[in-house]
Amino acid sequence: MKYQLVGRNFLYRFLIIFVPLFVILVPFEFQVLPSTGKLLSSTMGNGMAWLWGNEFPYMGQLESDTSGLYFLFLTVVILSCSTALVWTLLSRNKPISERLQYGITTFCAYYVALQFLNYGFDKLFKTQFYLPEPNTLFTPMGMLSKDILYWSVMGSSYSYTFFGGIMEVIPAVLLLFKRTRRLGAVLAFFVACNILMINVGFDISVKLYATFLFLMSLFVAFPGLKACVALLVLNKKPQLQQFPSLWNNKKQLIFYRSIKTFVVGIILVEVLFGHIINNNFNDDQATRPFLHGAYEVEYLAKTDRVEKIKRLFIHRKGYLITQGLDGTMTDFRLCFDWNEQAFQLESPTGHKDILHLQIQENPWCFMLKGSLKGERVYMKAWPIDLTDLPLLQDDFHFFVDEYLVSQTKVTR
Amino acid sequence: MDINMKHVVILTGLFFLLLGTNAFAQTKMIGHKSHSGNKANFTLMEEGNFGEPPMPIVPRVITKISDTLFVVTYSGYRIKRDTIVMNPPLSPKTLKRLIPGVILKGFDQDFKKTPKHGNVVVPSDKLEPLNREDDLVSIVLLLGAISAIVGLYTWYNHDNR
Repeated sequence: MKYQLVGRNFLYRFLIIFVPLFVILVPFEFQVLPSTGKLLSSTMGNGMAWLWGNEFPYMGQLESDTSGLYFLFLTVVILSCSTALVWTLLSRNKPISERLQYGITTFCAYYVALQFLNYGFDKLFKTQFYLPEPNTLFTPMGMLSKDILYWSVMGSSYSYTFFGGIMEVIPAVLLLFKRTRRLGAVLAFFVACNILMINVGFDISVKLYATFLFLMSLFVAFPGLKACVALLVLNKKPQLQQFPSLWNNKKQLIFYRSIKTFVVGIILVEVLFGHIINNNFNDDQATRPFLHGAYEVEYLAKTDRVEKIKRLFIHRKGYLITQGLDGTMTDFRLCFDWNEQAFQLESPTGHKDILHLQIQENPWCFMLKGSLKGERVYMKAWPIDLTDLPLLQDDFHFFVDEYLVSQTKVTR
Repeated sequence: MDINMKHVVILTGLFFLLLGTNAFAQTKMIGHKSHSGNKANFTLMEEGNFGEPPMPIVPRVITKISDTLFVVTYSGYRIKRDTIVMNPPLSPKTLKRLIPGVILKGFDQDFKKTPKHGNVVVPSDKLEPLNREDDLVSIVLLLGAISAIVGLYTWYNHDNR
């Protein structure tokens, strides 16, 4: 029992140091809140390279799942453990105060709520799992790796992405209020567990941060999970510890409520600001660049030496992607030359090409004349209607019978 | 003013410029694979990080510097701007129609076409200081409204008893 108490006090002390420190140092980019991790990333990255050596290519760069971030995590764990140990020894078995315990639990609850609202609203407004890009739509499934495939599958269903968003927003809102915090924490724990397993299972490079959020939600949810086990498994009446009272008089109460109102307000501003200012509440409907899409290529002049292209794609982020007859895709960074009215292309190897653009109105298509991979080309690009693709059909069938009806129509 | 073929071409470029910064939440690796199709040539310069919402950057103001030279100011929380050459330039009416809500500065309503000439170096003193007042007011109003709602909810529900 004594060791359990010492262990518990050590854990709280460790968390009081570790959680705020890692939250400050993790290079997460906020929109309104200060992005301290981003500001310090260069210094901390250099620090990691100096401390642990330059064995890994990204040791000095702190981004999601780089070796530098993993070593930063390890460094903060070691630092927090040793400080917590010294603190425990100096305190001579004196238990940690209830207010401090409550403080760190609330901090974790609010941070998990902030991130769940962040990702949740991003799903609700469809900016996280966006509609697959034209080139992805024309890539055979077997050629896609798991992460982009997962992203594209999710992006193809508005309703499921919306549901995913709701499943993150609900626990987040419950976490913000004392009365519902335990329920919110239990829900958040299961959601965080699912997110972590998706990131591991589909090799999405947000594994470390997802683990951090999962562990935080586990910490906040632990009393609630214990109560669930007591009630549902052991058939016992769950005993939940009361939250400590944080005020003794009306002045303190007003102060507490003002602080809480401000914190919750700033969290909501942080998560909604970007969507409001961009006026983007459904990314599927957001305007795409003028030539964004997929095109069938028709050659207008003989090109014996150049690798034949069957399709080309204009990507939303300013890329021109070509698809060869064998299905191979090549991407070029795309810039527009205002004076020459031409595409300036740069291949991943740094090779530069220029393609002059001519637009034909009726029937709508465009011509590209110039050099590609250093060879002369003159081709016409015919637009492909992406809304005809099966993946982008907004179909929903209650009855299998409906398939039969549509098949009959096709046969006739 | 009718939009002729040259303007269509200009708009193509303008849209690349303006919409290239639109919201796109993803990891760096997914961002890279979305255009390259594979992990070859991956660098950390790619946009994205934790699959979180990106910084909002939207076109807010187009300032005319000379007949063919314009500065597009994007605003969001982080403000950036780009210098573009439109030759021949689009009329304010067309720009307003194509980019709803954009503020045009230094434009003459009787816009006249000017002869072509090459890129011009923008004198730095011609650039107007960035105006963030609108954004700050929006943030304060939004913060106030949300805080009031949450505060009232907390107050009436006595959730901390």
